[in-house]
Amino acid sequence: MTDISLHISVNELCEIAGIEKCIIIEMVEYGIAAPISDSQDSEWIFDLESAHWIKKAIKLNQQLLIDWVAISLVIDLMKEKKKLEQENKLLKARLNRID
Amino acid sequence: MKFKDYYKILGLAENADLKEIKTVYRKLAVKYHPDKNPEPGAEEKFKEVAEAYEVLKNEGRRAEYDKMRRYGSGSSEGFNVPPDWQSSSGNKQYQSNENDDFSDFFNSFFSDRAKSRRHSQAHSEDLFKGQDFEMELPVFLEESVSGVTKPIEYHVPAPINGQLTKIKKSLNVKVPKGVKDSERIRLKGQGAPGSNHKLNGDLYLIIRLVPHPLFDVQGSNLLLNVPLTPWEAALGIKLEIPTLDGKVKLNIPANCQSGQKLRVKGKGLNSKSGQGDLITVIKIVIPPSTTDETKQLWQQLAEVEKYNPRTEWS
Repeated sequence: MTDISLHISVNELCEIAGIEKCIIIEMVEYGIAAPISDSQDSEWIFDLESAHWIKKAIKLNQQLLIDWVAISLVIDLMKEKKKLEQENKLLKARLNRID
Repeated sequence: MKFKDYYKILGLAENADLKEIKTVYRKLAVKYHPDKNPEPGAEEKFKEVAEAYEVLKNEGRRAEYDKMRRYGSGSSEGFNVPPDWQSSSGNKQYQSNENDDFSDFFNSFFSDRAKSRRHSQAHSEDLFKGQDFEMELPVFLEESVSGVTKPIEYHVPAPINGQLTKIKKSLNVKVPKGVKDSERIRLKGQGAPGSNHKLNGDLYLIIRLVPHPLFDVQGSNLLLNVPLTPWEAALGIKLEIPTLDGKVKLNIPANCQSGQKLRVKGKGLNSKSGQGDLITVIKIVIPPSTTDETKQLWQQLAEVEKYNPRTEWS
C-alpha cells in the first residue's frame, strides 16, 4: 500500500518548486494561497489545492515574466473560472435530469 | 536529432538584442500559453518558444548555440554534435535540471544532466529531482463516502542505459473517505525517478467523481429528483426515497410545486464543514398516455378548478 498525503510543508514546497521561502511568504501576502490556519506546527502547512496554485504562480512568473501583483490577479481569475466551470457542470447535470 | 533554429522560432534576426528577444518572447508566450490557449498544438508551440528564449536570453548559451548553428543548421540530414563542442562547453553551465518540457536538442546541449550522462561521469552536483506527475482518478460516489483502495497504473520516464525510457508503475492507493471532486492526493516519491530515491518526483492524483445515476453533488449536499404525478403533488404522499446508505421515508406535503425542495437532514456527504443533507427536488410528471376515462377526469377537473397560473401575463 502506498502512503498518501493531503498536505505539504512549506519546506517541501520550496524544495519541489526550487524557490526560497520568502517567495512563498510573498505569495501568501498577495492571497495566491493560504496556509492551513489550524496547523499546530510552527512550520506552515498547505493543502494540495494551495500547493497547486503556488506551483502554477511560479510557472506563470517564470514563463510569462509577470510580477506577483499581476499573477495574483491571474490566479484569482483562474480560481473563479474553475469554480464557474464546476457550477456549470452541476447545472448541466441538473438540466439533463429535468429533460 | 533535428536542429532547432531558435531565431526562426521567435521570428528574430541573428543580431537581435536582448530587449527584442524579451519583447517577442513575451508576446508569443502569452499567445501560446496552455492556460490561455486551448487550441491543439499551442502547448507544443509554447514549449518551443520557451526553449528558444531559455537559450537566447543567456549570453553564454547564445554564443554556444550560434557556434553550433553555423556548424549544423545547413544539414538536410540529422544534426550531430560538433566534434569540438564537448571541450568548449566546459565553462558554460546551465544550472537547472534537465527540463522535460524541452526538446532532446536542448537537453543534449544545455542540460548538465544530459552532459553528465554523455560523459559517463557521476559528479555529486549532477543530482536531480525526478519530474512530478498528475493523473486523474475516477472514484464512485459510494467509494468517496466509505473510502476505497484502488489499483492504478501509469508510465514515467526513467533513465535506462543513458536513454529516457517510459517505465510502467503499478500501485495500490488508499483513497481516504470524504474526498471531493477535483481534490488532490499526493503520493510522495511515486513520480519519475530522481538521481536517488529521496529525489524521486511525486505523483498527484486528481479525484474525479463519476456521475451518479441518481444523485448530484453540491458541496456537501446531495441533490435527488423526486418525480411525482400531479395527483400525488396535489394530495401529498409518503414515499420511500433512496439515500447513499439505504432508504428513508419522506413525507411530501399536499400542494407541493415542481422544483420545490425538501431537505432530509444528515443524509448528504461528510465534509470538514460537517455532515451535509439530502436535498430532494420535486419534479411533476404527466403520464405519457391517457385513457378516455382519465381524459374525462382531467376535463372535470378543468371545469371545477378555476386556477390560472398565468395571471402575471395579463
